[in-house]
Amino acid sequence: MMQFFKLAFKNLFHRPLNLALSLILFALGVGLISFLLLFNAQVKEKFEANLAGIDLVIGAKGSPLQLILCNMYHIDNPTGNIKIKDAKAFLNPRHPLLKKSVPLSLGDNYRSFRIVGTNHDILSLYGGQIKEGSLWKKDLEVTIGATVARKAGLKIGDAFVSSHGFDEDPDLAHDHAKFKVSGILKGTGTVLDQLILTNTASIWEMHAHAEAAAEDHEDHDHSHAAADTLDPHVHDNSNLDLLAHPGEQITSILVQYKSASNYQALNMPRAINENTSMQAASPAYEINKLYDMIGTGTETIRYIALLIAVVSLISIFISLYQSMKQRKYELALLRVMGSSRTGLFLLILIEGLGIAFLGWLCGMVLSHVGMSILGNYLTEDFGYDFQAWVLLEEEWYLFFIALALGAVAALVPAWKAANTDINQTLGEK
Amino acid sequence: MLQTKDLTFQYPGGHRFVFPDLKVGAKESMLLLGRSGIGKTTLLHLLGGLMNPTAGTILIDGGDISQKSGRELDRFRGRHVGIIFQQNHFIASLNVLDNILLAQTLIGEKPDTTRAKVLLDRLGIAAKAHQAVNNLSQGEKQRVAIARAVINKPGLILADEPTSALDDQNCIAVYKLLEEQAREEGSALVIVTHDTRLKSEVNHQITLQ
Repeated sequence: MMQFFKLAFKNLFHRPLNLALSLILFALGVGLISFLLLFNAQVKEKFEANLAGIDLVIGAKGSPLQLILCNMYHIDNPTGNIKIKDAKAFLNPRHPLLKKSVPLSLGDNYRSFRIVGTNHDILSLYGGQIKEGSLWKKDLEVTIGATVARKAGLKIGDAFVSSHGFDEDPDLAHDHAKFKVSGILKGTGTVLDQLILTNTASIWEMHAHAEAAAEDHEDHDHSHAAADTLDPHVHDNSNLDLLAHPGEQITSILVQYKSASNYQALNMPRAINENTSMQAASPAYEINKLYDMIGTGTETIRYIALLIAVVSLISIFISLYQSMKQRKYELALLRVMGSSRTGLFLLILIEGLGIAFLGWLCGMVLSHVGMSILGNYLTEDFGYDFQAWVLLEEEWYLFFIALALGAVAALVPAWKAANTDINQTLGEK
Repeated sequence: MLQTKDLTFQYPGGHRFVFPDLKVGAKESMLLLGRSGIGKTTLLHLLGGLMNPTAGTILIDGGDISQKSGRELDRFRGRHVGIIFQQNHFIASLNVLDNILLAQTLIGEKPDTTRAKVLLDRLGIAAKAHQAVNNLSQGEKQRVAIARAVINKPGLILADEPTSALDDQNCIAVYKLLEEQAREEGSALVIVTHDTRLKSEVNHQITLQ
């Protein structure tokens, strides 16, 4: 058996160009399929990890998908802001249908990590836990996600100036006030890792100052006489605190129902969309729509990959069949030297399996290198980390499917080889 | 050694060959002569265990090759018979040494590199051990074929027209080489040929009629 392995591989590498052609085709097919598996699995994983049990997102009217992408995945711009007085009912902790309602105020970033004004309930949505320091208490105190801490190199006690908007732009820096890091969260594998959390008032403060240059803003107890120093006032971070400022704005509210099957809860989104100036979007529904859109694209690529796989199957078959014909005398010789018919069958079969194995290997390298390149690009653009060097269970299935393809392609040539007529072949001389 | 008795071969729906009884002892040589079409190749294939006779027995190293078939015949042939063909074919993807060692691994033996190198040395081509077979001259190829035929110390060495393409001088030299190697390994040597130049060299001759 071992001698056939050695011989088969020597034979394969004896004709490097033929081998290369078969390998390239096979690797392309395998690589494309594996890449799709890898990409789909991770995109799905990211989307699902961040669903975080959120039943509804309430925000300004606009595209519902945009509302979800912006407020749950933090990869799109807000649809606008909503007034607290309009959203009062949904911020009320005594609302009979709502278990949790987490307000979000967006608008600033630090080195393209979003600064989110919210309350402490956001941690329970994503399973966030404090790793170092403490959660934000005072205005302008922030608690940062694990990725932020790592990539922006922020430590407890560090102060930084935020930029307006969602892209890093030094020209738009709010240079009048500094955020101060009070705590760092443990990694959760969710979008929480990429966020800088603070209280809602801090976001108001930033933008109040931006606007204050032009107009006198409404005087309330969060306006600041000495803006350059941190406000010593402690907000209690509760929604009641927000309700005390009906004229202010927030970006959205993430809602968890007490019971998602409650009849009234089911009707709530429609009621909001029809009767208020706000819109309500269901993450599960919007994300499924998004899957469908991505799905059509990946489906097409999958068919192309299958086509390449079939072509590579034919190419392996032709390559083996041709070389088997050319080596007819060699095969007869092997029989003369004591090899059985089964031996010759195995030899050609191993050659087919060998191409499949090497092709699978090349395909894996191709797809994972591709994933790592795309991953870097996606991380830069969206902040999400993609893992290039993981092996999915499906990729092991792909291994066995590849071997099966190799075996199928080798079957006929191997059978022909086993039935080489040695007397006739040797008689031809 | 080799001994045959009442050897007959009938091609399906065709020619029927009846062969004379042969007996060649260890270290002995025999010439099988005869014109084309008289059944020389058929006899070679029968003696080499490449096909089974219709009737009769062929004893090689005490085993009756005519009674074996399938896997058993394959193994027996690989172990007890060394064949040198008129055209020297090799496994193109293997070097000289590996081609010779293949004769051992194919019958399930451990490859004996030392012995293979000794053989190559004896045949004067030790320097070619790691070369591709296709880079060798015809004469060198024939020596590799001889080394491959004798590596398993077979009871019988069959040579098919080993000298017909050679000039007079080389003809005798190649015969001497074959005879010497066969004697060294204690094998019986049967040369199937129509080359009459060998008649003066080998006493034991049988002409097929």
